[in-house]
Amino acid sequence: MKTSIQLFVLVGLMTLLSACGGRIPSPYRGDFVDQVSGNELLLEKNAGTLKFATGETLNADADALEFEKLNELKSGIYTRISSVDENLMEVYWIVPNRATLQEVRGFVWFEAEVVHAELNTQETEPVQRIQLAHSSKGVVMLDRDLKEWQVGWPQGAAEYVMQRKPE
Amino acid sequence: MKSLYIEYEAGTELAVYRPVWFSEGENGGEMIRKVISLVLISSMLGSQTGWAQVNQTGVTRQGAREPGGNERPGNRPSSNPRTGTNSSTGTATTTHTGTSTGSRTRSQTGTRSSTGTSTQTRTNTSTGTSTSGSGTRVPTPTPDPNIEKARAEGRQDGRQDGVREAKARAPSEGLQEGRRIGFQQGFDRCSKEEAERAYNAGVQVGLRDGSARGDQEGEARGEADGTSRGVSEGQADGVARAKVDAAQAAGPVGTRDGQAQANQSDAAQRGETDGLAKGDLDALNRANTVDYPQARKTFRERRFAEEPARRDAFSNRPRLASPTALSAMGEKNNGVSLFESGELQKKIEAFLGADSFGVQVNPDRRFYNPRRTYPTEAAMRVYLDEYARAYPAGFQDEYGSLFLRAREDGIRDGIQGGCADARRRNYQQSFDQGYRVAFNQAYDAAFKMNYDRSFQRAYNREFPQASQQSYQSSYDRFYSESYEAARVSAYDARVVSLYRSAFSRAHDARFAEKYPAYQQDAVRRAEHDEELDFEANPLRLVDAQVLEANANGLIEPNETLHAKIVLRNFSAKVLAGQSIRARIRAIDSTQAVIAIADEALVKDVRDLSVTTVSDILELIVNESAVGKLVKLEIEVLRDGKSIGTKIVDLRPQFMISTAIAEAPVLHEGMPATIKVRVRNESQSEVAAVRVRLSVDPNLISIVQGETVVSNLSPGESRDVEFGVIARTSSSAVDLPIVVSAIDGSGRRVGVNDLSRRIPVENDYRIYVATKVESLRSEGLTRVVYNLKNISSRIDFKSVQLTVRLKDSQGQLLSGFAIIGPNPQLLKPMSRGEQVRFVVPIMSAERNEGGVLELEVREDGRLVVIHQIRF
Repeated sequence: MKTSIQLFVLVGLMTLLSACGGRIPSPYRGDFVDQVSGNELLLEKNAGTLKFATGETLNADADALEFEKLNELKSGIYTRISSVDENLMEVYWIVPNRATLQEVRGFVWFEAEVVHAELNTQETEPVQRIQLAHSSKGVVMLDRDLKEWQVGWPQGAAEYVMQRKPE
Repeated sequence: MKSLYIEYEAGTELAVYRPVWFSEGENGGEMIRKVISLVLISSMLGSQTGWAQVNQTGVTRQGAREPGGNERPGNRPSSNPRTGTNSSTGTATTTHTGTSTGSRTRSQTGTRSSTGTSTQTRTNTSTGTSTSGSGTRVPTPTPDPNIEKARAEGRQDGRQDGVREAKARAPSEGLQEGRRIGFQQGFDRCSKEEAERAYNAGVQVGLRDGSARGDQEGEARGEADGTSRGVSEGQADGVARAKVDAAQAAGPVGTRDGQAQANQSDAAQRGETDGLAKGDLDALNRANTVDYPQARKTFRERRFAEEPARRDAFSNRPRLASPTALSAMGEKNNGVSLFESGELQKKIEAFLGADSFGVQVNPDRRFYNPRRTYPTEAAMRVYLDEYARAYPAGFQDEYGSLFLRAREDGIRDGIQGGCADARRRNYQQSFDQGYRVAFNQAYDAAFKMNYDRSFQRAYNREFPQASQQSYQSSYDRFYSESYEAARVSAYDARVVSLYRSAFSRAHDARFAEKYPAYQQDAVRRAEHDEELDFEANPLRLVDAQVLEANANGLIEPNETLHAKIVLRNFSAKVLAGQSIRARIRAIDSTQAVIAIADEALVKDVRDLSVTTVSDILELIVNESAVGKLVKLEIEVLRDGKSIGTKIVDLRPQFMISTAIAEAPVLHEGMPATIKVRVRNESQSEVAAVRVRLSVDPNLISIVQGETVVSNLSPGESRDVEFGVIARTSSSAVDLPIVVSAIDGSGRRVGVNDLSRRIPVENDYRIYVATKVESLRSEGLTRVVYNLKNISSRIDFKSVQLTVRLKDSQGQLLSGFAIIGPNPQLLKPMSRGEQVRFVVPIMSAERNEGGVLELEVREDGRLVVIHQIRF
């Protein structure tokens, strides 16, 4: 009996870790393109590339969203499970602009290029479209005392509807 | 002594306010430079909303200046000449414009006025070009070749020395700081582990001990309790069975014997005697209490039905007092309601500890050594300036990374030390805690199992034996008791039946025999007595009413009212008016103000007449009585003796009725409307009606509290709207609302004082989770807020939170700075999601408080404005 409970807890923890561990769910992996802007998106198991039509490119590894990583101003594709919907994975692709770093009294904030998406972890088949919000004027604010973070962007962020490229 | 100023750095979208301390020992030029910067920033902030604003571009206030505002020669390249005008004025106005490049080169054209002390007026315009003016400094025609060299060397020397100080300090300070942090982390982690280990060991021992003790004590207690309960419940069972069996056997025998004994008693004889006496008494009473008053009433009605010899009428107030006099008096009572009069504002004096600026790591200048010399004074000054600027810059550039690196090492060391220290501690308390918890659980489980089993065994053994013994010992006693109870009950019932039958027969026969004679005598006495009464009291009150003054069909509050009475004189004599008085009083004295409560007639009452007296007595009804039944008692007296009383009922009503027309819905911080329907209930037109809305200002702000409705015809209704803004985070508000209407003359003609529960609906709701009174004190306040998406279904839109501090008039307060971006930018929030974060606000000085306003927009769309006083 005791062994069964331990096994159950272990399986639950592993499931949770696999969901939050920064991996892109397999139905969302692959090549996508936004027909309007021409921007292209490649999502892999642990990394992603967003190529803009202007020639600019963002590359980052996927990782679980943790305060310390933001505190170290690490670029990355950060994921976490939504607090209101356990089937929803929030994705924040954050590229900090170190030159804008400011700190006063334990509060740290900096500008960042931010790409945001929400993924349904219950999908089992490859999804055909991913919606992204993108802002080059995003702001990340950290409260080092409370170890809380906040990321946001001004109104008018660009929105891309990335369609899966044909095989 | 330390003083504070804030370095204001720009070039990004976000402003930086870097607190810096003055300290003793700084050289004069540096001190002055900071003072000037402080004054400039203070004046700049003072002219802006709040203490800090963002988006200053292209200006860094680090130029060295002489006291009194003079520019040091050589402070800037000669290609950027400064034009200055000095005058003594007391105002401070600073305007900055400009551009910034990556190398932060700047150019300025300035006009500055100064008192020479601490008050300055300056206009700096960074345009990248230069202009000249009167009384200005003229560019040197031939540049000093030493200046560029001095600048480069000053920069180089200052930086080297600053870096040197950083290298000397950062490793040790970082290591020390890291060890302190690491020690605490290591201690916390390892002490927790050790405590858990001790706790688990306690659990094991506690389980063993508790189980053994529970087995033993449960068995013993179950045997004792089962035996005791079996004996007591068995005895009770035997007694109950004996009682039932005995009653069934003895009841019929006792009943038969009781009835036989009653038949032989004197019950029928006593009933007949009592019935005869009571029949005679009832006949006499009936004649006196029913027939006598009825005969007097019939006689009186006959007299009133006779046609009077004459009819008369007069006003008791030939020259009526102006109604406006009383109306004015009523207006004095028209004060605003208690709610409108306002409540004392709560003054919360809760001061959290005032925070102060933290100590930034600044160079202590231990290696500050500007050591070169130059042939010209200008070059010398350039060197000193560049050195002074490069020293802290070099220090700051180097210190941070070295400090962090050393701190990391320190943390590692500290963790080991902290952990080792934690493992040396005694965790007996954790062991004991685990032991207690496990012991109690194991004991309870073992005790219960053994107790139940042992209890049932003992109970089943004792119960039957005790029951049988008890039955046998109590049966005979219950038989005797049951027989006697049945006999007595049957005897009593039979006696009552025999008595009542005889009484009724005798009573009815005697009543029928005696009543007619008693009735005849009562009528004869009544007519005689009534005739004597008319002779003694010939004046009678026939009717009384209270009438309105302005003939609009309504009895209004604050309207002057008079009585009308009708009198009849049955005598052949004229009765003097002065001997006849009327009085009035309100049954509920709070409902009316009696202006004339007692008044004599101004004319005589003629013989054999019916006389109507109008305009007598005077009163007004209070607003509190509107819609309620007002009872007034009018009494008439002659020669001080009452001749009659009448009760008059009134139901006062406002001329204008008001009501909430539609169920309102409010939005926190956003405009909404409350619609009110006004109706003229009178039979007269009302001119230029003004309608006012009053609510609790702590819950609702009114955009416009009064609106004018043009003339209202009789029966006409109209809707008016009032703009309001809710000031609550609740989903609904219990709101006291006062709607009043005032006519063209200023008289209040309608009031509705009601309370409504009104929903407050916003897509987002914001709560401030901390006390904000500390904003009144100097220092930093962390305002923690919770923002929740209540009902917005819009996906994928970020949220912007803007913070403002205002005074009670809605004007932005100076003396505060929001740390961090304002607006604060938040991620998109799903429906039902709640975000908690902090707005750090710096207060420059102790202040009188104000209003903290949090405005939330969803991708630019305003969704809520929350206000809280501090």
